[in-house]
Amino acid sequence: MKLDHHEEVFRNKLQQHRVDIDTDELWANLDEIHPKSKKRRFVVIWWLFGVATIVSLLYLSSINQAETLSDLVIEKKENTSSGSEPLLQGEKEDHGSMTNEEWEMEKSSMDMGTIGATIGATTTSDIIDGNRQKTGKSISLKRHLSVIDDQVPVVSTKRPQDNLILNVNEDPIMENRNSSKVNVHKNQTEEVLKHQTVATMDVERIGQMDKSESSVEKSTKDITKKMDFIKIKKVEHRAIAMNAPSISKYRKRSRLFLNMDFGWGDLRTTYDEPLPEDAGYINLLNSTSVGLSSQHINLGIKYEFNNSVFAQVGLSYDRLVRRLTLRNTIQLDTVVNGVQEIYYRSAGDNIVVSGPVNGVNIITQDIQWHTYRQLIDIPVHVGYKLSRGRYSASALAGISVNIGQYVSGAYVDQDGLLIKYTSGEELNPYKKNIKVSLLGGLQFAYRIYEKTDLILSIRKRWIPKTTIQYDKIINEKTSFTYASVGASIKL
Amino acid sequence: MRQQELIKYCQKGDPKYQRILVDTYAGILMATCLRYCKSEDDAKDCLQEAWIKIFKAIHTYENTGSFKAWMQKIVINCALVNYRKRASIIRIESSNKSKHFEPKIYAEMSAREILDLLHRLSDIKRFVFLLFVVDGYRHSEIAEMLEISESTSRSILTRARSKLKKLITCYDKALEL
Repeated sequence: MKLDHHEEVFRNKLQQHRVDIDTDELWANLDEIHPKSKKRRFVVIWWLFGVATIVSLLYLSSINQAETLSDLVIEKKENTSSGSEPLLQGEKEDHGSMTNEEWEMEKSSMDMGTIGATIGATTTSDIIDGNRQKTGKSISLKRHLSVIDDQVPVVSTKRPQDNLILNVNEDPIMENRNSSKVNVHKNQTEEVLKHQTVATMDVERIGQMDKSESSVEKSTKDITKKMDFIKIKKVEHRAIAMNAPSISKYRKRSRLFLNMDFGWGDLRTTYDEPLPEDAGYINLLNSTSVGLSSQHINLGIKYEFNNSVFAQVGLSYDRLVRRLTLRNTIQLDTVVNGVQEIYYRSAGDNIVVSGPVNGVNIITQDIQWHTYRQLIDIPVHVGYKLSRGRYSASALAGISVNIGQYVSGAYVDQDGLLIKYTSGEELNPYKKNIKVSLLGGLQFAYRIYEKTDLILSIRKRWIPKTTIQYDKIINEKTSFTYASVGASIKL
Repeated sequence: MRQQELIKYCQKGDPKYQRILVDTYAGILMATCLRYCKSEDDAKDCLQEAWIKIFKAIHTYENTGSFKAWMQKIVINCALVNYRKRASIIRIESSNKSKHFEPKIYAEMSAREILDLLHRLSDIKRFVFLLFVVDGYRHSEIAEMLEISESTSRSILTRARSKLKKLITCYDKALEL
């Protein structure tokens, strides 16, 4: 069917038709929707995961700090507000020339970690500020009790074993409790909650009463009696806190670090080649990697024994991609049954070429071998650090235990055509891939904030002779070089 | 940059070159979308879907045949999918042809005006006409694409031509007056 004249015109005009379009807007829409590079997504996801882990750990750390600190402060406040309350056994009252507030601040500053410090200091200053207000004791007391409300159940449920180690035999309730251990703990918790509820109601009642100081004091005395039991709990917790300085000492010397490594490597492989009994020898196989790459994310803790010597342990995830070119070199000078033969191995197949051979024979063949592997790695380092101002340089050495699994493997020929695909299990059973590697490197750090360092490092990793399974046993030696960027935070 | 290199980098998923590809071909593909879609908004949606499909499928493109034609085929397929989805709605809307067409001799018509003229046809007539006349598909291919028989495709094309001729004659007369 031929086209009419006007159809030809239409066709030409429409085919040449081009519309001006805002490609920026179009691209912006496409960028949101169309699938991005997997590599990019992978890096982003793991960075986010790392950051989330650090934040979680710091948050947990800060909660512990805040609990300990709040209890210390609360106990101190109780003594201050009630005035005539006797100090309990083992309590240290003398703070030298410091006021109570100064002592609390000093105590808090000694024990605080990075974020714990902020939270702890806020808690302290809140209570102190409350105490400073001269509108009446009810305010500071109410604050005080509201903090206790938060603390008591937490303490009693979190660390039941600690309830039994305290010297509180003067209290009949505690005597009974000591005799019946764990079951009693449940009753204690209920009783604490009961007292706590009553106390809270009383405080609310105080709030509603006329704000005259005398009525507040009267009510305070009633509450104080009911709070005896709660105070014992506070002492228990304070006793736990007494152990805190030793923990704090370790914490202050510890740093949490996260780094992202980009590695490239080299692999040498030898094959255990089964030979005929009367064969002479075969020297073969030298493999050279052309594209061994690794993406590595590493989270760990570093402990500084002093200003120079440190140790660190981490947990890392390694995604390894191998694009190898195997250069098989066979050198043969063998006589089998009176005939010189060449044994030639190609991707798992032995090819025998018979015939007269003069001198040394060498055959080479290039085969590409792609494998994808994931590893969980536990690197342990010791190191020595030299510091100058905000800068520091460290030398590291250690070992790493890695547990991994091949995801898949494929042989391809020189033109990139697939020769053979092998699944992970077939290629390398999981249990045979536990390796110990040696690590060494240099690390440079720059303190960007008071307790935060930016880290750049170069590391070398050697994986000594390892055996993996394919058609035959393959022994391989691998080494990697990593360039790494990361950060560490002092706890 | 040569087209083959551009395609090669896009096949590797490099966003920089994907952007160049979009900049280069967006105008042409949008024109294709406008031919097949009822409104400009539909055309924009269609174009967006088409680009996503192009980037997903670009690794399957083997350097045989025109790359532009390959992309246009994807665009047309997207438009057809949308047409099938919205067929019922389009049928209702197609009765309201209130768009006013500016009469001119067709030889002097701009592409936009031709499009306006074509949009006065029903959807199925426009599709068959465009596929056959503008994009050069055979009736067997059109039948497969639109899920109709070959004879139906021929019949629709005849009716579309007849309708267009009437419209053009009408406008010619209007111009003479």
